[in-house]
Amino acid sequence: MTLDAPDDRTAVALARHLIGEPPTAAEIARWRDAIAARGAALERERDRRLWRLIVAAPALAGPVDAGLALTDPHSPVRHRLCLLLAVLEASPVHTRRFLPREIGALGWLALGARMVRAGFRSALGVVLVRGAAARWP
Amino acid sequence: MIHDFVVVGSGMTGAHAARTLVEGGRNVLMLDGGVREPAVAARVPDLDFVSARETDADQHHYFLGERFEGIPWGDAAHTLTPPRQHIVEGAERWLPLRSRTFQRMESLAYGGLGAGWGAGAAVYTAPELRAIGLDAGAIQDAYGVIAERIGLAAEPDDATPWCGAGLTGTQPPLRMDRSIALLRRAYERRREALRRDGLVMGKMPMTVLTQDHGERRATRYTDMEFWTDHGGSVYRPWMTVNALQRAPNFEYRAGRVVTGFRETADHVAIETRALDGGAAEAFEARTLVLGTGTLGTARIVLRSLSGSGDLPLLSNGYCIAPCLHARMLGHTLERERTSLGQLEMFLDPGRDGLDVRMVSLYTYRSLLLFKLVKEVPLALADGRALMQALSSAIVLATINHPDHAAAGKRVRRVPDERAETGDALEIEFEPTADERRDNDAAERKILAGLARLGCHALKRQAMRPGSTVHYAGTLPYSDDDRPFTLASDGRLAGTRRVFVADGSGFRHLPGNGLTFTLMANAHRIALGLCGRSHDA
Repeated sequence: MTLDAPDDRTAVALARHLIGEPPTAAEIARWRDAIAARGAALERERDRRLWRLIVAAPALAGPVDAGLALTDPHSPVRHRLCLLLAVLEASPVHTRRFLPREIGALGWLALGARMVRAGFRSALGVVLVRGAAARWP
Repeated sequence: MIHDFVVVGSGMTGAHAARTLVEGGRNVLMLDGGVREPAVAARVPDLDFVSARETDADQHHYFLGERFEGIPWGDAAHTLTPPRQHIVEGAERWLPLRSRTFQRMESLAYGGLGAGWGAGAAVYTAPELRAIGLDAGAIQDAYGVIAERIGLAAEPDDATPWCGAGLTGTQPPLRMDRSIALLRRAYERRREALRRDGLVMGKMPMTVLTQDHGERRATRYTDMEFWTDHGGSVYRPWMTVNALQRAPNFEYRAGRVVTGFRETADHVAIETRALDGGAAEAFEARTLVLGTGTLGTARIVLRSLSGSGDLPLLSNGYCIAPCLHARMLGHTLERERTSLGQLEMFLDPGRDGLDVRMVSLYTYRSLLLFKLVKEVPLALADGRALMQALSSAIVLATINHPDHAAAGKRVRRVPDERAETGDALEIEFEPTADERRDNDAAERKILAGLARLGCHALKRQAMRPGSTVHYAGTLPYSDDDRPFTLASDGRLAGTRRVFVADGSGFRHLPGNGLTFTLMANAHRIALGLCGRSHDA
């Protein structure tokens, strides 16, 4: 794997993090093209470190992403994740993960629980990102 | 060869000025950039949005773009969808503009900026027309002509005095989707209370067909208006130019940008450059009609007339407020709907039809979810889950403020060695403190009114000056033939044969979109030219 062309394993792990489903081979290739075309290069040491962290431990993708959303929403790390999300959305394979759906009481409960977890993710993420920024500005 | 009339530009004003001249029996040459849709536009299937999303394996080509240009990043701004990106192609090179604050959009496209227009067709109030410097009676007649040409969907309601007075022969209005229909019902229950605060709600006339009109088909509510013009239900000015090209007294020349003109005793010499390669070519006309848009016309006029300095500039203040419509939580929008504005709210603070704020309400689906998700301050995975649940309940309120001339809103021509043309427009645009205060107060009142209807603002995002893509006022209408003004018939002061058909002459810019009035005014000016000898 190089920093500029993430490998299949990274793409699968991050797609599972984003929508709970793996990408197709065509979607992985499209994501690589998107990173190259949109210039989501990791120029700062902090961003390279954070990217390597989520590649090595995809479970940390959520906290890192959440921390960046609050502290540096236009970070290239988040940009790469957004490119993958867009590629996944523009594919009939994953449409049901994006189109609106009716939600009942149980659905709202599940969403509420997820938002509580998202709050913890954000708290952890801010610590991670600020720590990384302090060490590798 | 000296042409009878040369009309510059195929946008809203060029197209309708040319049509009126051609129908008046005059010979017209149209000079235009003429940039066409990209190849990706042909890939958009004739399907509704949900069906395309569910079935088309090639959707990434048009939803994301061949170079992924449909995935915006950075500060929130209006972005064109990939099939509409041609609208701004070539503008950086041929229409150079420098500004720290002003976000412009100019076009060399076939059909100009109208190729991506939102289709709202506001009729201005008589006080607004007077403030602009237009004769209300003449424009009212012209509104009727344009409505007949392009087809309007409208019906009388509470908002009619602010956006649709005097229209006849219109088609039935566009259907509202579930969310907007609920808002409308909530408004009907609270109408009197809102009216006491100066707020009314209703539907803006729209240039979208709900019944077939000539070769154009009625809308099928595909929710794809930002991506394709299948069926031609939404009016675009290129449709008028397409039809004109069948007339024997009309000639169309694409691939040229007009850079300047020089008036002689019996004609106007028009200087152009080829978009492809930059070769210069001159044309001659008895009468020149500029329909190049306010900024484009300013560029041409500043190059062509001696003296200059700064010109005034008007552009609407603008804010977008994503709102949560509580009654829609847990529900979805129907498959058949429109992406365009469905309902408007008006705030008339002085109850005098002047300085009216216009709010367009849109529901959100066909611009794809990821564009909302990236604005949520959560991990994208959590933002996706949240927005999937909430997106049907999101209502985007776009608030448009009127604009007035002020010292801090100026445009000038400056030398620029980097530019193909050796110069650029430089814009400084700073609203006054009073305008900022009044606009802020109006936004608070509007959002409070929406909250009373169950639609609560999540955020208020002030957009950069210029981002409404409504520009006017550089050559204000004047009766005294001062340099860099227009006579009421559109003639450029200091010339005899140069007329301006676009919004350059507007002395005031109402909050309502100006596009319908631009078309009507272009028709009015061309009608005057039909009845005038070239040497008058």
